[in-house]
Amino acid sequence: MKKKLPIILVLPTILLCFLLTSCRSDRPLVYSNPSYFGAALRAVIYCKKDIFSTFAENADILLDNLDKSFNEQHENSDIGRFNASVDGEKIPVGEETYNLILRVKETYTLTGGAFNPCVWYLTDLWGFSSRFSTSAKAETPYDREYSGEYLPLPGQKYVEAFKTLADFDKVLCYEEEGSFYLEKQNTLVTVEGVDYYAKLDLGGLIKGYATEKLALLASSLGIGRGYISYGTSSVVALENSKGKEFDLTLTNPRRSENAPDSFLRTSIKDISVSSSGDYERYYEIDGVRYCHIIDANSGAPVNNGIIAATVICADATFADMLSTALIVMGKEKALEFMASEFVSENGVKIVFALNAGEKYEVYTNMAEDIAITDDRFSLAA
Amino acid sequence: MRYTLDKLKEQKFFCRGDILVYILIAVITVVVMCVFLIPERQNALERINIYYDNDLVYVFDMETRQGKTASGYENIIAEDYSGETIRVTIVTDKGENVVEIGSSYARMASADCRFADCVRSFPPIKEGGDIIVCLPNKITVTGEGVAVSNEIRL
Repeated sequence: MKKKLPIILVLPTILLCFLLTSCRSDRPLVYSNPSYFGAALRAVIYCKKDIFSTFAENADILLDNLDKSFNEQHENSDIGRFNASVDGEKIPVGEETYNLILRVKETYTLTGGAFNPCVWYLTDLWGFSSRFSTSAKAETPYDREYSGEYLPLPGQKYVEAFKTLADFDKVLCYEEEGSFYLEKQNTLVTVEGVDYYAKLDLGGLIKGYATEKLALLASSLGIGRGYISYGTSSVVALENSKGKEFDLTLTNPRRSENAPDSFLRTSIKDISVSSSGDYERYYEIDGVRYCHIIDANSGAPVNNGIIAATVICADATFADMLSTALIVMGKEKALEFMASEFVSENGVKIVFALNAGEKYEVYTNMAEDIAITDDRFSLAA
Repeated sequence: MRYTLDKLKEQKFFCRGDILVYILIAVITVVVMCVFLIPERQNALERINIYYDNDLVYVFDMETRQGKTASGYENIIAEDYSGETIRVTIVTDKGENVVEIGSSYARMASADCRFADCVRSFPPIKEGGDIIVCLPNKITVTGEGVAVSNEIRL
């Protein structure tokens, strides 16, 4: 018996070693790519190095392909060719583009037109398209000379004209004999002798779509832990290193020297999240903030009090579109949407912050799961 | 049976050989605990790298708190060690950016580009893999180290 005592102790020790080894979390591997869509994609994933290498190689290819298909700045991309076309031209596109545009149309209908990808000209008119990041040269008849740091406000005749271009119902997306097409119908407007046709801007969804595609890539490689984020716009969270939830903090839409970087915290796992707000890209003239989110109905940047919106749901592309749409909707319609059957049936979680004058009110359907981390914000009664 | 119990009672529980085995087991257990339970020394942020037009132009070592400008780029980089934080100014044909480096973070403090997305939209670099991009001025700032945080910032 005495001789067996060491063995009795050795066995649990070996078992302890085994358990501790299996519990140990590996260091995450980080993939970063700042080359596409004006922001940096970042994947923090837990896997073996050879799997990570495969992920990184395929992620590079995938992002490049998305850029070639959906970046309207590439004249040969599906969206670039569509944007360059005139009414009635059938533009052949890939099946992926066709399927994505159908999904956009569903969201356009669901949100009552609040998510509208046909605001290309309005976005350009207000100075928020990508060309304004790199150049201050006047290139179009409606460009204004910069007055100091910012563009003067646009002329109303262009606002009115370009509002008529923002009719997504006039963009047809169809399949014909196994091929896929986009086509614009009756979109032409003429201002000062120059013809304009509707153009698409997928900036409101492409980051969500990219994270969705990369999450599928990760899943196909058996990667189940980590997260994939695109700038501060979209993230797909898997499990954390311990198989549990990540802490999600949302950018404070009114950051300042004395205010914290984030205004709200929650926990997420195996879910997609997207945020939008008037704090990302904007300018101010005479104390009025003009942000990059355009309301197709008014033809102008949104200014209805909602300063930030976050959507948590299973579909990253939809989350990206809906977070923008909620800001366009304004308080009443956003509350109505948040209370809708669609939201409850699909488990969509929503948070939006409203500038209510002296304070900021937070509206949400997940109040029990959030913590507000900036005293200036409080849950609406 | 009676004989066995009596014999056992007579025996010492700890013989010299047994003690050695127990000590060995204790040592192995402590070593295993150290290796697997005490977190590895992980530096969330070891270096800050600054790129201009995809060329690495400046590296700041967070441990030694010293920066090094890449050869040939001395004319576009200026360092200021006078305050609590270190400020690195990059002046190129594209524009001017200022990177602020604190004890455990780096952020874009200012940029003269149109919307200053890099200042407004990018959260501070706090761990390996964090990145800030200024597209108009072609400046990229990356964090080198380990991604240790459980926090996702959106």
